[in-house]
Amino acid sequence: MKKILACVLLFASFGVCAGDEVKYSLGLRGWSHTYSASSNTSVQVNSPLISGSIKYKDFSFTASTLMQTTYVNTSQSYVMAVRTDTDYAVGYTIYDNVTLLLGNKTISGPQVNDMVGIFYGVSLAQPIHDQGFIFGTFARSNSVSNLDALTGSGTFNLYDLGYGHIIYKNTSLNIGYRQQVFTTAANDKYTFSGATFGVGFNF
Amino acid sequence: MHPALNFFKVQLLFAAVVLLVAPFLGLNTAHANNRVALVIGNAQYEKNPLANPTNDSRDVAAKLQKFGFDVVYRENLKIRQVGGMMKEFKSKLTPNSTALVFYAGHGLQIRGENFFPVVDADIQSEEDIPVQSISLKQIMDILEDAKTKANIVFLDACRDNPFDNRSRSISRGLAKVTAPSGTLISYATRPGSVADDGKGRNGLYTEHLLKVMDINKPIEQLLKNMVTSIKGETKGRQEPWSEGSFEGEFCFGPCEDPEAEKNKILLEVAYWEKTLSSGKIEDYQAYLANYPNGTFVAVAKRSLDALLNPSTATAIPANSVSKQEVDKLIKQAEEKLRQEASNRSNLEKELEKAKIEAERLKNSQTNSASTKKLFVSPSF
Repeated sequence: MKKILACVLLFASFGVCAGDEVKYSLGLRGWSHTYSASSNTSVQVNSPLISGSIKYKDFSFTASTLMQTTYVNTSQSYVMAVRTDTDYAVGYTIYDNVTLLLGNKTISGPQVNDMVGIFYGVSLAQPIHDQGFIFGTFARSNSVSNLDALTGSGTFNLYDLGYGHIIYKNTSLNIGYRQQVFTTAANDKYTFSGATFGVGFNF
Repeated sequence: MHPALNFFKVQLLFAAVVLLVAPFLGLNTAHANNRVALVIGNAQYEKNPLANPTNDSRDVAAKLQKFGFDVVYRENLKIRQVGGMMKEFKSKLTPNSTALVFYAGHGLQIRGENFFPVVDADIQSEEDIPVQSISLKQIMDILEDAKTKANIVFLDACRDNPFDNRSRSISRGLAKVTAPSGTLISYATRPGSVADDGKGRNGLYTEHLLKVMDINKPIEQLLKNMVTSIKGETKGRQEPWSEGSFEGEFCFGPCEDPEAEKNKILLEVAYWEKTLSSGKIEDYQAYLANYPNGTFVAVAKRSLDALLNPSTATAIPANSVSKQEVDKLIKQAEEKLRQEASNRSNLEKELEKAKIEAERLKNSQTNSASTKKLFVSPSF
């Protein structure tokens, strides 16, 4: 069933399908990060990141989510923000482990309009020895809607770097650093940055 | 169960595995049905003879025959023999043929066209060359007319121009060729450059060609290997050059694919593990017989030697020798025991390495970091 679903998705995306050559990847990570706003307020939270990808030849499709995260200013006892990210992207591998990405990011929360932006980027994964590899994702959106209450849209940049270590065949542990920067038209910056750690599976 | 029976079962299992994977190892020895070669070596020129071309042509012809080629062979070709040779070569070609041409000797170019002078050539002017030489274009025309499946041309002919340059149109080395489709041409050196006639039995290019012909890999890979080795040996002065291509795959012998290589290694490791677990003299001997150039040959020989020549120190009566001699023998025995322990330890280390390598090979088929196809799911 899983394979059929993957084929359907791939066929819908790229018009290709060959059951046995479809690969799957699942990533579960914790993101221990700090939310900093231009107003010099910052809070520390831990969030789960879940991502899943399917790949056929050089084409891939990825869906990822940052599960609902609440940023609470403990010193002043108020909720600064609540967010849930839902992202998806199509990828095309141009050279060995270099994949170009084009996707859509949606950040939703209670009582606010969804912030939505088309992003583009590149992801990399390079072996450095038999069990170890480095990986990274760089993405940017030139226009994320509803980011700024006054001027509307803003920009979004993502930097995600890390090291993975294969512990058994298709299972790897990873550690890294991840930063999201949202910049409004008024040049106010909202930065989410911190360490990641997790596990990845390939099937 | 008796260890010998156990090993017998292992061998049966091994034989079964070999039978199963043999089709994937490229062990099929059948060659293309129609392989035709034209091999020419010109050395005994009346002016400026060369040392090696006839050695080159003889060695190449012998090897091609071994690989199933029907060889039209000529050496020290004279002008009156050219027509007959071309006719014979043409008569053997069919649309299904794989045609191979090898030429060793002097070569020169006039206005981009390549000629190989016959040994009795007396070239006084540019006009003499086309009528006293084999024309490469003529060979190409024959191949084109025959509509052969694939053509491979080796030209070890870029040696120094032996004839006085009485015309500015005559240039050193050979020119690039307009070849029929499905043709791969390999030159001893870059167009316009000069190749080494070699210091040994063969010219440098042919010497390397003869070596790579035994490798069961596609011709394109062999040519790359030759470039690397010849460039290295001449410190970059001579660089073989090739152009053209054809559909499909050509190997002189049976083509082996990379998967087959991996399977071979895995089979050998499995065999070696069983030999180790048995520890019997005949099993080490069987390993050495089956894998005379195997990964574990050195260790197997040492182990076999240790098994065949056990320590004799305890067999010597203590009272027949002096105390110093007894001490010396004891030390020797201890040293031998240490050596055996060390051998065993090295053996285990090598086995561990082999296991890691086997695991790496297995993983490379799925998703290890050593593959260049890592697949990591990003999040945004």
